[in-house]
Order: sequence, then structure tokens, then C-alpha cells
Amino acid sequence: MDKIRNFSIIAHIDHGKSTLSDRFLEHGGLVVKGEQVLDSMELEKDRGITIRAHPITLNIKVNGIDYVFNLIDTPGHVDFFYEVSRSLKACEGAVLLVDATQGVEAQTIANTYLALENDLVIIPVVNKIDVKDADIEGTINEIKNILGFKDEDILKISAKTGENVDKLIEAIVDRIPPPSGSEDAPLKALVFDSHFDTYKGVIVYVRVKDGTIKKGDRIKFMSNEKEFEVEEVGIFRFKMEPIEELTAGMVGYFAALIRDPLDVQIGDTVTNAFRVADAPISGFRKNVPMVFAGIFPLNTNEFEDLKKSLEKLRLNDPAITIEPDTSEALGFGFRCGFSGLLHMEIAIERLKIEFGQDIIATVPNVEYEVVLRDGRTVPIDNPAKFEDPSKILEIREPIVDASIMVPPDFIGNVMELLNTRRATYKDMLYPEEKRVVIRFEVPLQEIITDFFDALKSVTRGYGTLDYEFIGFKKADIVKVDILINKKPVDALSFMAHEDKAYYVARSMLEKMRKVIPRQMFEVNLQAAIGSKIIAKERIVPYRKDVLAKCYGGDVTRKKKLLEKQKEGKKKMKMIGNVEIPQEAFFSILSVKSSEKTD
Amino acid sequence: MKKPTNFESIGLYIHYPFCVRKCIYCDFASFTLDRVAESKYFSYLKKEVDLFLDKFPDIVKFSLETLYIGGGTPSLVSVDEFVDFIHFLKDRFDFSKLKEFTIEGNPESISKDKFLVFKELGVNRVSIGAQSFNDVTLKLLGRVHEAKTIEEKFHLLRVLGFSNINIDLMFALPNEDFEMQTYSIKKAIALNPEHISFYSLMLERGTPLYRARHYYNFVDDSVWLKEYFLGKKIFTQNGFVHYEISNFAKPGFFSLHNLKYWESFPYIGFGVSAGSFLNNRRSVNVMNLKSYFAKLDKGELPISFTKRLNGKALKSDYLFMKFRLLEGVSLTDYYKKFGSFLESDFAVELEKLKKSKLIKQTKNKLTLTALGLRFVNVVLKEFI
Repeated sequence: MDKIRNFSIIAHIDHGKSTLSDRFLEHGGLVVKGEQVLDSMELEKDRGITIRAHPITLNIKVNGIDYVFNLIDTPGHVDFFYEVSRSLKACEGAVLLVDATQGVEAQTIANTYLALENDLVIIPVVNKIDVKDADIEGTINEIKNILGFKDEDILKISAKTGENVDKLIEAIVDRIPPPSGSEDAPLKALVFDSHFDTYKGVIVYVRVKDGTIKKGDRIKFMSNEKEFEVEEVGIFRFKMEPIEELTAGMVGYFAALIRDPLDVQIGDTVTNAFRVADAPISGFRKNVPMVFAGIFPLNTNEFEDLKKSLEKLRLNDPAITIEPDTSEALGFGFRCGFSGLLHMEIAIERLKIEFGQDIIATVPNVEYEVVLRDGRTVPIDNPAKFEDPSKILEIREPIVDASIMVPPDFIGNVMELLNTRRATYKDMLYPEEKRVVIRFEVPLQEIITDFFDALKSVTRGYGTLDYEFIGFKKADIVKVDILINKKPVDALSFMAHEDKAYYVARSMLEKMRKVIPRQMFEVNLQAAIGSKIIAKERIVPYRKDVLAKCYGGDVTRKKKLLEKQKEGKKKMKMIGNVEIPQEAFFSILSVKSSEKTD
Repeated sequence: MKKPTNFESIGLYIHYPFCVRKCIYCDFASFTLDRVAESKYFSYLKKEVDLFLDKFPDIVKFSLETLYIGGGTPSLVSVDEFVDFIHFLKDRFDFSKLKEFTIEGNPESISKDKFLVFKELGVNRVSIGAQSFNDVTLKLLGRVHEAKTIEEKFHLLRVLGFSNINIDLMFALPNEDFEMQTYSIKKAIALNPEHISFYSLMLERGTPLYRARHYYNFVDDSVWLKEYFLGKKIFTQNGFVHYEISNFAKPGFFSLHNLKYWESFPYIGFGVSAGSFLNNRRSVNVMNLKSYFAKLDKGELPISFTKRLNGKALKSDYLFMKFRLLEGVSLTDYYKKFGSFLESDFAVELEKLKKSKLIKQTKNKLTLTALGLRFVNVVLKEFI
């Protein structure tokens, strides 16, 4: 076990992470130098996973001794706070790679903070020292000043030419501690990723902390008590490579004919069903959908296609929940649940790009608890299913315990942002001089629309957010209906806190007035809470559309002119008798909760 | 040359592309008059006609019902060239059943001697490009005439015995308000012509007016509608029939030639930018003189676009043009023409238009409603 090193590489995009990985692969004898290594993204596409690359196990000889290096990739985006932290938890150390031509980037800092939180040993490395305009000294100073490392800790390498990569490998052996743990203790393995295989079921990626796991073992997931018999265990090379057993300190996978991807949750602890570990690995969060949105095909006849795509997507991203939904305005579609807004955005991107689906997603909202006068408490995740207000005793909204990590310079900006979000400040921690953690409670609804963007913009990209659901709290939540010519458009209804409903409604109507083209008739836009109109706008009609002349010589030309206009119309979505262009629909649905009108 | 025997009638259009100068709103094929170029043009027109008759000998089955000399400013034409050319046409087409022979003219260049000759040649209809009776507007538009010239020349034509005169009048003109437009309408009606073409100014890309559009005031939709409906009201009160979106005529004086376009009857056009619709094929000639001459020099017809229409496109074109006529589309005519039912060929479209009250059905006719008249493009778009 003392010959194992588990680590990841923290780097900003384009700072040379994949080039450095290639060098490691060469040292591990997996590729011959100079050979083009398959882009890991391509490998991913084959498996339908794009969020991150799979881990890789390398055998590297250092000073005559054989070591096992497990290189674990982390999601590039720190906003997947939880996923990143679980990946880091599978490691004892991290290589912090900084491009000498670019310097330290905000995302890198955020990821470094996370690694420090997880007690990882960090090896700071300046890359691209072979490039002519590299500012090596400046970059070293930044690493020292911003992140607080010492001169002698910092390595200077060129991943491209291979210069000093052997020194880095030595440093990994010397500085990163080997895993601790006991092979004799009951099995305790951390689940840090998974993917779905048609024949083997869910392939579970694990870091074994204690004990062993091998074919034939009966294992148990500690969060849900689900038990399975292990069919195969192995390690990751380029492909999955079956081996006899995984022991404490190792990184690998197992398959156990798990058919339902929902049974496997990132951060969960796997143990032996007959010899259960005393406690699970700390920090696990149950995978509950927090954010809900309707997803509809743009063309109503593409429902079946969308259904298939969503099902495929869910196999590799089990955090998504899918329920059939119908909308008067948008036809047949799905109500989907996501773990957060970013998760939702990525799922939508994947549906569009990987699966080629043309979709419309409605305004996301959280799940509310509605207490009815008859004593029942029902969950509501869809404004369309909102109960008649006269039957409602109270509505409770989900509250999260959140923390924002930033350099101290931005405290004021963050506080200002929190003021606009119904947040309750709790306290502030200074884990070290260069960073501060601001802790607060906030209704989840307040942070699911545009909070990340706002946070990034007020902290120049340095801020990171983490949050955890703590419970429901009574709140003045109202359902706002949007009416077009007096007809409510179900797909545009949303739920909001009473204090904010007016602003959101106003900005939504204003946006609609701007993006909905004039029609042959006046279009009245209204926002209503129950029967009370809280905002209105009108779109004045155009009053004529006349081609004055059309004679023998210009029949074709005039026809083409109108044909062109008609082409534009085909891309419109009909809401009642009002034609709304696709782009208009997108922009109406992307109105942000903080957009206030002047 | 042996004259053909005739079975069917046809409309013939000749484009005369020369003007004293081009008006700032004009996007037609027109060039500054130059007698040398004009002479060359007539010789090439003849080439085109003969080439055409060569390629489409079937045309001998048709007799001319209408002949229309448009432009440009045909009243500028050299009398000798014109007389020669009309005789050339008479040698090749059957003029015996010619009902309507129109020449377009600008007030400035309408003259007694010229129009007497035209009358001799058989011209029986004159279309005067008046456009406005406000001098300030005429000047702004780049017209070469003044308002009083319109009246003088109109009376001259009456004296010469022309009993079928059209006045081209525009509305929604730059820098004109409703009062000025009202004045023009009243002046036009006071002349008591047989026909009035009442067009809104169309701001066409590529014209000087388009480029300078920010320097002028244009009427908004509500004034546009007020002007259009004022014209419609005054003309109809004075015995005119509103028979096409932009055309009004005394009973019996509808433009037979233009009806060929709107009714999808066959017509041939010669000269730059002229169009033809023959044997279900639409063709349009090139827009400039240079390529017009070049193509004919190579022994090719000077066509820039041609397309044979199949069943559905033919029907769609038919409706596209026919709905411009206020008498609308007759279901029986449609059936006779195509052997299928309009109600089933375009069931969805018709239903939608009826529902939005843009067209209405009376007995076996579909016509534009008052709303449909304002949104005729919305109706036409359904059929393309």
C-alpha cells in the first residue's frame, strides 16, 4: 500500500492538463513517446460521458522501485462542488498545474481551496516553461502570494517537452502520502463516479479505503442498504481491466449487475454485506432533485425521440428524474428534476448537442411543500399543479445552508448580493489569510436561477458556492400566471415569493413585449396572482400588410418576398392565436429573478 | 411573312426602359434616354421577338387581345422607331382581335403629334403617371412634371379622342400629410378618368429614397389606412369599382391586360425585365441592357429566370394572383381550370383564413373581407 499514490491534477482549461497526463501515460508505459494519445474526450463520447474522464492506473518505476499511480480526473467545473469534492476525497494529493503564460486563474484557486478543504497535499507546478513569452517568475510569485506556497515547493516543468516531468514524478512519490487504511478491516470504499454498461449494468468507480473487494463478494451500499453480488472487479487502464481483487488504497471499479442507475450515488460508501463497516465515509449527500423544469420538444411530434434521449441520458446521469408532463401551450413533454441549476443546464446542453434534440425548457423552480386546509401536505414541483389558493393553509419552501468561499476583498460585494436574495447571514470563517467562508441560510429558489452568474460577476470569478438542503420553512409563495389575451399560458406560469413576484412578472412581461412580434391584433399581456392582475403590457398590432403592386414581370419576385417572410413564420410557436418566434420563447423563459425593472 | 391562324387570345407586353431621369423611389428597369441606345434597343427587341417565335412556333395559335407598352417612359419614344416596331409586330401577330392597346406616359412628354400617331397605330388606352398633384412632392420624388401639366395633358388626350385613360396616383408619400393626399385624390377624380391606379409608395431596397429614408417623414399605419380608405371611398362614390388591391375603374374599363396577370391567363413580355406566362411556364427577362444585348448576340433568349409550374405550384400561383382581385376566387372556375376542388386542395389554409376573418365565402366565391384587404399578404402567404 505504501507504493500507491492517488492524486488528481488541478488546472485551468488549456493549462496543459491533458499534455501532462500524456507524459504520465508514457512513464507508465501505456503509450510510446510521440504517439498521439486518444483525446480523452473522444473516449468519453464513445461511452456517452462528457462531464469528465475516467481515472487511470499507471505503473511507474521511481529510483528502481515500482509505484502505482492512480490519476483521478475531477470535473472541470468547480460549480459541481459536490462531485469535485468527492473525487478529491478519493485522493491523498493533487498536482496544481499553472500555465506560465497565463498565470493563476480564478477557477484554479477555487479548486485549490477545495483540495485544501479535503486535506490534500498539493504540489504546485509551473507549466510551459519552454514557451518563449512564459512569465515564470511572475507566475511563481502569484502562486506564492495568492495561494501561500513557498518557493522551494514550486516545480517548473514543460509538459510538452517532458522537461522536469521526472522531478514531478519524484515529488509525487516523496510528498504525497501513501494511502492509509487497513486491508483486514471491513470493506469501506468511496463511490466517486459511475457509468452504465448495457451488459454489465452500472459500473461503480471506487476508491477502497479499508478492506478488500472481489468477485463473488456480497456488497452493500450504506446509504440505501441495497445489496448486490460482485460480478467483476478491475482497474482502469485505457479500458477497464479485470483483476482478482481491489484492496485498501486502490482505485478501480466493480460491476454487480446493478440495473437501476439510481441505486448508485456519488459519495456513497460500499461495504461488505456480511461484515459491515462501522460508519460510512463522511460527507455523503443523498441525491435528491432540487430543481425542476418542464422539458418539451420544440416540435410536438418529436416527443418519442425526446423520451428515448432522456432515458439514455439518465442511465449515465442518474441524478435526473423524469416524469411525463403535458402543457396546453407546449404539448407533451416531461417534468424533470435536477440536483441543481448547473446540473440542469448541462443536461439540457447534452440533450441538445449529444442527442440533437430541439427543446424548450420552462422556468426552473424548486419543490414546495403545500399544507392544505384538509390537513394533507403535498409536494408541488410544477406551477401547473398548484392547488387552488383557497384550499391552501400554508406553503413551505426549501431552505439551504450555503457557504461562499472568496478572497476577503470581495466580502462586501457578496454581502450586497445576499441582501437581494432573502438570505440570512450566519457567520464568517477565515480558514487562512487569503480566503474567507461566508455562511448563510437562503431559500433554494433564490439561488437556482442566476445566482452562480451573479456570484461570479461580483467576485470576478473567484467565488465558489456550496449548499446543502436543511429543511422547509413557511414562506409567502404565490403562483403567478401569465396571460396572453386573457388566456393563461401554463408553460409560462411560475412560483415566486410574494415580495418578488411583481418584479419578476414585470420583467417577464417587458421581455415579452420586446420579443413577441406585432400581430394582426392587439396582444394583451397580463401577469396575475389568482384573479388579481399584478402587471400588464400590450403589444400594439400592425395594421396592414399589403403588397401594393404585383404585375406580370414581378410575380416570381414578389412571391419570393412573401415566401421568405413565411419561412420565418414556420419557426414560430403558436400560443393560442399568437405567434411567438422560437428565440423569443427562449428569452422569455430565461428571465432572471434578479432582473428588476427601472 | 405569313400570318398565323389563331385560336386563343394572349396579352403582349413591351418594355420601354428609358426615362428622362429615374425617380428616387423607382426600382424598375429604367435608364436615361439616349436615342442611339433606343435605336439599338428596338433592333434587339425585334431580334428577341423573332428568336422567340422561332423557339415557340406554337404561339401562332394565339391572337393578341391586349398590347401594353410599359416602362420606363414610353411617351418619350421616338415616333419613327415606334411606328416601325408596331408594324413589325403586326406582321408577326394577329392584331385583328386586339381589344386594348395601352401606352404609358408621363405628362411632360405627352404631345399632340405623337399621340395622334399612336392613335392611328391603334393605341386606345393611355396610362398617365401623375403620382401626385402636389408640386412639392413631385419635385421631391424626382418627377419631371408639375401638377398643372397633368391636367393640361389629360385634356389634350381627351381632345385627341382617347376615351380610356388611367391615372397613376400614389399615396403614403414622403413628407405628405393626410390633407395633401386628400387634395391629390380630389384633383384626380375631378379629371374624371376611366381608371385610377392608386398605389401606396413602396420603399424598395436599393433605391435612392431607401438610402435617404431617414431624411423624410413617412406616414404611420393609421394614416396609411386613412389615405387608402379615403381614396377607396371617394373613387367608389364617383362610380368607380374597386376591382384589385390598388386599382379602380369605371364599369367596362377594367384593365384587360393587367387582368391577364391577375387571372393567370397567358401573356408574353419582350424587352428588359419583361415577364411571360405561357404553357404553364413563368419566365422573366434580365434586368439590364448590357446582358439583354449580350444574350441576344449569342442567339439566346434574354431570360434570367424560367420555371415550369407543376400542378400544385400552378394552383398556388393562381390563388396568389387571383386573391388580389376583389371579386375573389370562384370555386367553379377553379374546378374548371384544375379539375380539383379548391376546398380540398387548400382545406387547412382556407379554414385558417376564414377563422381569422380574412376571407369569406359567399355562394361559390371566396373573397377578401375588409380585414383581408388590409392584410392581403397574410392571405397570399397561405397559398405559397
